[in-house]
Amino acid sequence: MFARNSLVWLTAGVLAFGSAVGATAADVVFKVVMMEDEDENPAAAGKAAATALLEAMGDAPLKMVVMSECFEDKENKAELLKGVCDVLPKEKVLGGATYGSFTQKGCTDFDSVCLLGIGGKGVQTSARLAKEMGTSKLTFENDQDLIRERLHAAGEELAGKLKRRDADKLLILIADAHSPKVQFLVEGVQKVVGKDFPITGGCANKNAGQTFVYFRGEMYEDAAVALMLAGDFDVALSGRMANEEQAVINSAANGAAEALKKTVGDPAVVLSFNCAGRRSKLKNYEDELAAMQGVLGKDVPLFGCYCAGEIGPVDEPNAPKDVLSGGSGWHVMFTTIAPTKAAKAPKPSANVSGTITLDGQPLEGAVITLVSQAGQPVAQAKTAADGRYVLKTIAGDPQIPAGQFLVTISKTAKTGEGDKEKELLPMKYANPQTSSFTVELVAEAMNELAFELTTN
Amino acid sequence: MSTRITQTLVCVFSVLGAIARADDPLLLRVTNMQVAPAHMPAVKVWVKNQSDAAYQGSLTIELPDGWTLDPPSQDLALPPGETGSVRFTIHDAKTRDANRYPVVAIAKEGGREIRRSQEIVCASAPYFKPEIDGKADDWKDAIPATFAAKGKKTTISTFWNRRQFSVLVAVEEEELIAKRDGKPFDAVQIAISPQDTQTSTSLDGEATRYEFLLASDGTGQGGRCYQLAEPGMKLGETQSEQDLNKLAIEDPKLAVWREGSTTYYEWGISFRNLPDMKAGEGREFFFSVLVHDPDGTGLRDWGEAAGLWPTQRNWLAWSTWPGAAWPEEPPMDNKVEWGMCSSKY
Repeated sequence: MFARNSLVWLTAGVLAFGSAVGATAADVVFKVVMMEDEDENPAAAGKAAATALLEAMGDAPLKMVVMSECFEDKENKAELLKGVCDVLPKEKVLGGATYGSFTQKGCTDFDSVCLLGIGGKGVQTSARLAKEMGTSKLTFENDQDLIRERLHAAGEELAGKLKRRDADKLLILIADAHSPKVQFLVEGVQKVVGKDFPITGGCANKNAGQTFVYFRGEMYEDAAVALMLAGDFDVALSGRMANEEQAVINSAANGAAEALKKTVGDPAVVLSFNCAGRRSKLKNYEDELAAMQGVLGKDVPLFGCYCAGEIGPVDEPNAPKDVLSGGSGWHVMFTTIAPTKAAKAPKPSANVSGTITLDGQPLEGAVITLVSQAGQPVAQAKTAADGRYVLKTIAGDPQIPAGQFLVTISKTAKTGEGDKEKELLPMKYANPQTSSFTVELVAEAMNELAFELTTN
Repeated sequence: MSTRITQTLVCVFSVLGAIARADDPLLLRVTNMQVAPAHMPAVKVWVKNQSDAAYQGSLTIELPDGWTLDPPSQDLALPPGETGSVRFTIHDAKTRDANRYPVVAIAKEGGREIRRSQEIVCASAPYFKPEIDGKADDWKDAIPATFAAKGKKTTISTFWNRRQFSVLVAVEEEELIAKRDGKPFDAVQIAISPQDTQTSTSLDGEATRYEFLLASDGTGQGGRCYQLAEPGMKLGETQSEQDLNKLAIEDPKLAVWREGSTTYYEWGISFRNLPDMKAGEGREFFFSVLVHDPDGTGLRDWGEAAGLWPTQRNWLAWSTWPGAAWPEEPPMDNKVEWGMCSSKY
């Protein structure tokens, strides 16, 4: 029997905690600063952001700065760039015009700048520019062959100019070559670095008059920038695609979870190149960010930007692993960078299954969701005909983090009006604040949870 | 009670009568194409089941040669009286300068097939901020949508950027009649609404649109802009003739001029004046236009050209105003799909 309005305690084995192993990452430093211009003074906003970044970097030697900006028109962008380069060494500043940025502080769009500072003794950088690629005024519909030829050449030239090191770990590309053109640029780069080399990045804002990449303090159209990172760190990449609101939110959590799961150690930073089209489906832009934070937490620096094309793993079931997306489809890409030799302490986790009944009868087709205290979905399952479920995390892992959670239970059916659905259970069960269900999962144990719902 | 309200009640009864008939068991409509960034063009097929029996069948669209529909067809189940839609993506579409694409919506159920032929357009506003200066020269990269009424063409072009939504309406007509008190005059009436809003059929309902009236001020260059409605306003209020002088927008971004046999209305509105509208790449919304040409073709209705159903005629979708000359039939609903896209290259 399961009593409502109670915290569920289950007996289980003793949790065995592993001790944290590994070193901290003072040699691999990534800091993120985001600034919105509320005074219509891009130069001042640029200076303020750059000053804040220097402060955040502290004593760590600054190797490179990646900029994502979303100011309107060339004049404002030039002012912003000047402001940033008045503070930071301009030979270390590169980046692109985007549709906005997102960090742990929130989401921004116009009149904003986001800076990623890369530094520390354990990181080496090499950056190069390919200009006059000859593709910015060509359309994919009419000039596909010419675009392929020119961007293959540009990508090969760009990657060929980079200083290479044995410890090369990640290539970041920022290009005036929106999706799907950028696929050809990536292919050109891969001819030099190899198909299994990690590459991520994004394409500049393609709105008329807004498309620029930045390199050594200068603005360029019809160009691409490559930044190679080498050093004492490892990277993990993931990509997800979605084009409807809830799928956009869920895929952000799933993608972040996959990258995090593949990360060895605690990440020093998470990079995210996110399609601007996904944002158009959200009633609130922050919902997608909140989904990411539910997985990543709010402490790891997050450098995110909204792009016109994203580079990273293709979210298609049969895609070859060496094909990186530049193609169509609204992707969000995640890259974690974690110092080598740091190891995460194993987090306590639990297996969770059980039954759901309604008025004493097994309830089929109900979706049970565990929700963190911060309101983020953590695990979910659907009941079978006998009312039984087996919980898995949003990323599909049957090991659920131990701890205390709220619970929602929902069962919906289509109304026949487009995609609209209606709730079949009493509404209170679908809201974590009103369902009255809370659970405490015991680690290293089989947690069997029964929920008895009533229609009254 | 005003004549228009009487007409509303008459219309409601005749619509109910139409639903009761089995002549058109299914109403079909293909929406105009939306082109979101980094995405293939997308359309929806809307279906209204007017019969007494449930519909359980499939939907597909015949497209211009060489275009591919994805998926090729989709199933749809609709109870009696219900309306539903399915979304398709189009691959290998080729742009036509005229921006008109013939399609046929096909609903199949058992051995029965219902077809509806239409012309659809790409209904997307590229990213750009034109100068509202009485010259159409910086509108060449817009995506114009043209329709004809009684042999006269109307072309609607739009742009957007983060600060401003801009519209150019080119009206082919014999003569431009500037705003004048007490008599009909030429005007363009525009409605803009967020996606997923609906127009009520009750006078007690609330407007879900921003609505504006544009007219020439008689100078040959300038114009007057009046805000007729905003979300939350009682629909009953939109059906009484308000004093336009009280609704005038100060210093509007509007130019109205003639070139040959065409009148141009060039207009820009700040998104600050449309707070419920979220500006962003790929954002879909509703947008429609009525052109008032009382000395020529009468009312020209973009909703009609966009293929809205007869059941979607609704007086409450548009405000009345002093000098407006309305036909016997209500205009179409103002909820016609439109979108914000990126730029051509």
